[in-house]
Amino acid sequence: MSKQPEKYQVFEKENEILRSAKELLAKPDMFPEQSWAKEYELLAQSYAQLLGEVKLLTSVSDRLQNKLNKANESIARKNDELTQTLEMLTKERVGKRATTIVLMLAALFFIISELIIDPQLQEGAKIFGASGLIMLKITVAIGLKPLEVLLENLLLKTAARKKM
Amino acid sequence: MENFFLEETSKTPKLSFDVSTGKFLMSGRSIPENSIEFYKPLFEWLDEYVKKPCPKTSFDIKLEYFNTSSSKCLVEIFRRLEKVTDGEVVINWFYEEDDEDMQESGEDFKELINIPIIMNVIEN
Repeated sequence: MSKQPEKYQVFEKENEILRSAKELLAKPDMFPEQSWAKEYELLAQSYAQLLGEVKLLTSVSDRLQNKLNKANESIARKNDELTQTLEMLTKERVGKRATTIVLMLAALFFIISELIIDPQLQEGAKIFGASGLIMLKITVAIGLKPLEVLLENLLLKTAARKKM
Repeated sequence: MENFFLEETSKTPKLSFDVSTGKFLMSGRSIPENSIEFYKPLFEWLDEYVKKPCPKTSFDIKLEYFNTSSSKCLVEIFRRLEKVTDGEVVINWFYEEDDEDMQESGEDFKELINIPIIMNVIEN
């Protein structure tokens, strides 16, 4: 008989029963008539025991598979939650960065406007009037919000590219 | 005869079999690469133990997960303990209260094995 692979050695006892039953069938003349009934009874007993064990193993195995599936589902769920949290965190971080940049730009615009543009516009105000000057400043201030959104989207895209 | 003891690993359970008190313990996970190779020394130890067992043998099983070949090895362990004639043998099967799978597995063993298996809930 060929050597059983290591993992099937767990069925050593069952293999032994099968081997002796086959031996008996191969040489029927070597066994007296009365021993056949006894051997058959032993084989039936072993078969009943094996059947019981197979039923148990099948049922336990299915249940353990079920347990494994539940664990996998739980891991997948937790993974989704983690991904969502990470995305939210990235969005928040990028939003903060965009706001900081826009604030710095606003401060820069203010300084440039006060030091360079304003004196020149004062001259222009004589032509367009004071309301024209205020309108220009309001346009710049309103333009800051779309700029922040634009910056945020750009930074988010960069973060997504880095992740890949 | 010496006690049989093996420390728990990520894939194999803790095995603590005390020959002087008859207190046996198997706990943790049982998913060895080769179950028969892992359990064979224990089978041999039990073959010796059943020849001269303690008056009372108490076997605590606190497994959180085991693979199919380990369940066959568990059957083999129980079959050996079934051979104890001059002494009492009790198996205590522990399971966490929300672990129905492990509870039902214990019930399955209970139907097959001719040793009293007492089901014990571990409350979370």
